[in-house]
Parts: sequence; structure tokens; C-alpha cells
Amino acid sequence: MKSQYDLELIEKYLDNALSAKEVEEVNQRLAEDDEFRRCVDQSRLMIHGIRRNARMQLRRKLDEIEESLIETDETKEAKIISLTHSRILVSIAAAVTLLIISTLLIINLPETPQNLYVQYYQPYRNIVTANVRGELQELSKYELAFTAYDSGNYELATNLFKELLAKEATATYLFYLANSYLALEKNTQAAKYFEQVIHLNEDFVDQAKWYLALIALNEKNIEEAKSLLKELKTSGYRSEEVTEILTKL
Amino acid sequence: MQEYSIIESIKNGEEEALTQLYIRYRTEFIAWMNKAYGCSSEQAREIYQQAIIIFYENITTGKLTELKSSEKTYLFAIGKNKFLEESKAAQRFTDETEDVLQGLTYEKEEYKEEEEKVLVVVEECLGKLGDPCKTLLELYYYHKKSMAEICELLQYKNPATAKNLKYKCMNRLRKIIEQESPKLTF
Repeated sequence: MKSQYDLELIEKYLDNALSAKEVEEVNQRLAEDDEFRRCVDQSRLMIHGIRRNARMQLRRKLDEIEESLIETDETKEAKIISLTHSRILVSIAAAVTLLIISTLLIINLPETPQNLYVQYYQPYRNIVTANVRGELQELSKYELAFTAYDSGNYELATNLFKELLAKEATATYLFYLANSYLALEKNTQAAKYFEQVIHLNEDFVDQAKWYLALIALNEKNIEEAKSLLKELKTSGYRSEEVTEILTKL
Repeated sequence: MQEYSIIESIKNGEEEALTQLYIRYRTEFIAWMNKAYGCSSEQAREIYQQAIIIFYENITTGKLTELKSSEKTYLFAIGKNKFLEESKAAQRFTDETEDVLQGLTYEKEEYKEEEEKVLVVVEECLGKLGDPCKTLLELYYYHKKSMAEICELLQYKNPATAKNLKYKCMNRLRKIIEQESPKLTF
């Protein structure tokens, strides 16, 4: 066991905090005292261990981000695959329909509400932050959330918007959180937050109604969809599309 | 906003700055590594993480105080350098890269077998050390915070208290290592 004096001396030496006199002492000890030299080496390794361990923690943090990003990529791929499958089904269905039409004359098949949803649904574009491509500007969770949203990392975006909401409940955060959920096809959660946007009655009220109407269509809740669309007709938001859907229903 | 903001933010300990930086160039970096060097996406991701960490460490250690080019140029240059180093393509990086990377260095993580054994023990014992000691030692030795900064971050009375505690924490770690691995003399 080293004396307290030695340990303090070694630590100051490794932290570059020695006085000129102490430097002289350490140099002499290093040249003559094997035990002292070994203790210095071990202490240095201790510091390296602390650093390497901290670096590993940072790596794990990056891995966590990476995992959430990869998951989102996979969800996207899965969607593309299922979309391709449904496209094939759609074309088969179309061919069959055509056959029926050509043999049984024209039957006007009504559009299903879900089809209307697919036809009209699009995630709301980010109108809040400029597309961050250039130099790193204000570095905040706020921008990070929108960066994730813009790049389609909706899992990460939901987490970040929720964190932001915990600090401040704004219509903007609620609206984009709802949109992130909708993009992940978590309609119940999406609807809950769109309703809160409307309840707050600040920004994005019409937009929230539009998406709630689409969710209602997707869930075959025609009456609710109609009532929301009629409200939108009065306000004039997306008037063309609103009228189109109303006539199709 | 000036270009130094990323350096300032990282120095101020804003972890999000690093996360945001990571997300911002990730896709582009991986695509570039795929195309320019035929890296697999997995290999490119690995190199990208290393590049981010090197960038971070160079800022915290004060080796990088200002950006002469954009952070993207830096990150990509570090990545290229790392790739060439790993693929053992013997040629040194081009003049252009050397210019960009001027002043940037990083510790090679190569230790002798004996040293490696000690390091593993140290790392295990750090888990047993607990807080505030573990955090304090990390802030001082890895994140290169000054005693005044640590004092503020961990809310100590004054820098002298923090310094004294750091000494005690090092001794505590030493004792844990001795208990766990009596053969090692510290």
C-alpha cells in the first residue's frame, strides 16, 4: 500500500498539476524507484479505463439511437412490402371488377371509406422548422424532433414530441405527435392527440379535424367523418377535397 | 448562426447536440461509404459511430477549437481516414484530407495483453464504484471538465471540495480494484 503522500503526488503528476519542485522529485523517483514507477503505470491505466468505459457508454447511446432508426427503416420496408402485396391484390381485384363490368354491364361500385382514406391520407408536412441541411444551428430537442419527423423516423419523433409536451403543452407539439402516431398507424393514439389540438383551440384546429375525418373514414365511422367534413366545409379548409369526399359518401 | 455553435454546444455538455449531429449526417454518410468505398451498411455505421466519437473527444479535449470547414466535411474526413486505416490500404490519406484533419488526433485503442487485463478489471470495478464518484471521474477524465465546471454540474460547494472528492474517489476505486483483483498492485 502506497502512502497518501505518494498517491497524491502520482495523481497530481498524471493531472499535470505538479509544481517545479515536485516535478523534480517525481522524475527522480521514476528513475530510481521501481515500485513507484509501477504505481504510476497502474494509475495511468486506471484513468485509461475510466475513459474507455465512458467512451463505451457513449457508443451504447449511439447504438440506441441507431436501433430506433433501424426499426423505423424496417417498418418502412415492411410497409413497402405489404403495399406491393396489396397492389397485386388491387390489380387482381381490378381485373375481376373489369370482367364483371364487361359481362354484367356497368355497375357503379361505391368507393369504400378505407379507399378514401388511402386516397387522401398524407402526413402533414413540417411547416415549423426549416429543412435542416446546412450548418448546425440552434441545437434543441425541438429541432431534433422535427428532424426525426422530416426523415420519417416517426418512432423517435413520437418520443421526442412527448418529451417536449411534458415541458410545454402546445398545439404544435400535439399536432405533430398525433401525425407521427398516424404515420405509425396507431390511430387511437393519433385521434386522442388530434382531439386535444381541437380542444386547445389555438393552431392546427382545421388540420386536426381533417385528419380525424380521415381516421373516421378508415374506421368506417361514416357519420362522424361526415360531421367533421361538414365543419371543414364551413371553414373552407381543403374545400375541394372535402367536397369531393362528401359527394362520394 | 455561426459555425462554432456545434463546438460550443458540445463543450457546454449539451448531449442533444451530438445526437442531432449523429442523425443529421447518418444516411448521407452511410450512402457515401457504400458508394465511394464499397462498405457494407453495417461497416459504414460502425465507422460513422467512431467518427462521431472522435469528433466529440477532439472538441472536449480542446484539440479542436474552431471549424475551418463544415462539421460535415470533418465527419466525412474522419470517416474516410478511419476506413483507410481499417482496410489497411497502406497509402496515407490525401493532402486534402490531411488538411481538413489538421490537429485532429485520437488515441489508438491498442494495449498490451497485460494492460488489457487491467483495463477490463478497472471497467468492471467502475460499475461497483457508484455515483457521484463514477460520474465525477468521467466528467474529469473523459469529458475533460474543469473542477469549477464539475462543481457547478454536481452542485458542490466549491471547486476545492470537488477536487478533494475526486482524490477520494480515485482511492476508493483503487481499493475496489485491490479487493476484486488482489494480484494487481495500485
